[in-house]
Amino acid sequence: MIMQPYRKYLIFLAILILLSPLGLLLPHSFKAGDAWGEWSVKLVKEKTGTEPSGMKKGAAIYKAPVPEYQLGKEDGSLPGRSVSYIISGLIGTGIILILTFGAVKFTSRKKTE
Amino acid sequence: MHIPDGYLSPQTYVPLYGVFIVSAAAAVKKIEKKMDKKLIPYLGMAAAFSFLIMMFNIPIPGGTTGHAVGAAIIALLLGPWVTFIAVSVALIIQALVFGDGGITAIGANCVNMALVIPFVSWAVFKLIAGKSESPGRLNIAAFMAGYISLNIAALVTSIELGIQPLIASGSDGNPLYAPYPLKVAIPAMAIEHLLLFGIVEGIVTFLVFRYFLKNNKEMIGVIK
Repeated sequence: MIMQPYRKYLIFLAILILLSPLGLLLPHSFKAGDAWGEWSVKLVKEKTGTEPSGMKKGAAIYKAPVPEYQLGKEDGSLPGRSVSYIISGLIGTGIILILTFGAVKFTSRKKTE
Repeated sequence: MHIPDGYLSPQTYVPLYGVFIVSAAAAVKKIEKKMDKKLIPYLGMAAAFSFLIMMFNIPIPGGTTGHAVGAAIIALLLGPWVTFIAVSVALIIQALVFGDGGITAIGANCVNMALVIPFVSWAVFKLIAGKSESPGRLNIAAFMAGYISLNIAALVTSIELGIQPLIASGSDGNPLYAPYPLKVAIPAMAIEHLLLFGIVEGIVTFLVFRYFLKNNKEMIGVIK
């Protein structure tokens, strides 16, 4: 099995995925908002009184399928958002590992042919 | 530190895309030449590690949040070029799938977090560790590599944000993009990274480094 030598590390990653809701719950309990320089246009307007037009246009350029690591509403219940967070961790990790372990399979197949 | 869409003017994000693409081409060349194919899964797990570490938002009570990137320790293990690719993969997936960091800012974010951190981390470690084999000194070097590299990345990011009002303003004189000038952006980001987030990156770097130093020293590229 291709995963065998990496078991330890994969278990560590799984633990990180399960603990990831801490990244949501801690800011919530300490009433901390978004990172500096990552505020929404609306929040920038609240803080500065201006709504930079380029920023407003730019912010609308792309809509991610799972915004803010949330599958449901961004202001949903905490347990629901925590589950979303774990699933997002799984999705992100899954995509990354499939891409890279896939690359190994692909390159080793090329060698044997 | 993930710059969203709309914060950077095209005059800023286009050149940063250029830096990113040129560096990525250089990295792939270096890796192809040197790297054992067996290392690719480690690159993947490192990318996943960085992706997950960035989900752990740390609050400043009543203020903002921030997080470690994990790029400093990956650099000490796998080298700065492999780290650049690994953390870029994580950042691109964050932008495309989760809207964390803008599409237009992928170049900027990869330069700030995937390029600056690993190279600074590697250099700081070498500088502090020297040729020493004392675990104490090596562990301190690892912590400082994480602490300083995240702070340099925050500084670079705050400069990119802070120059926006100088670059582009509308006919009414108001800024078109990120509205905060350098004298606001630099201290805002520097203080929180000097006092909290940099320390977290330092601790993550130190803890993982110490684990490998004890259990799997051959994996630590920076002391080979």
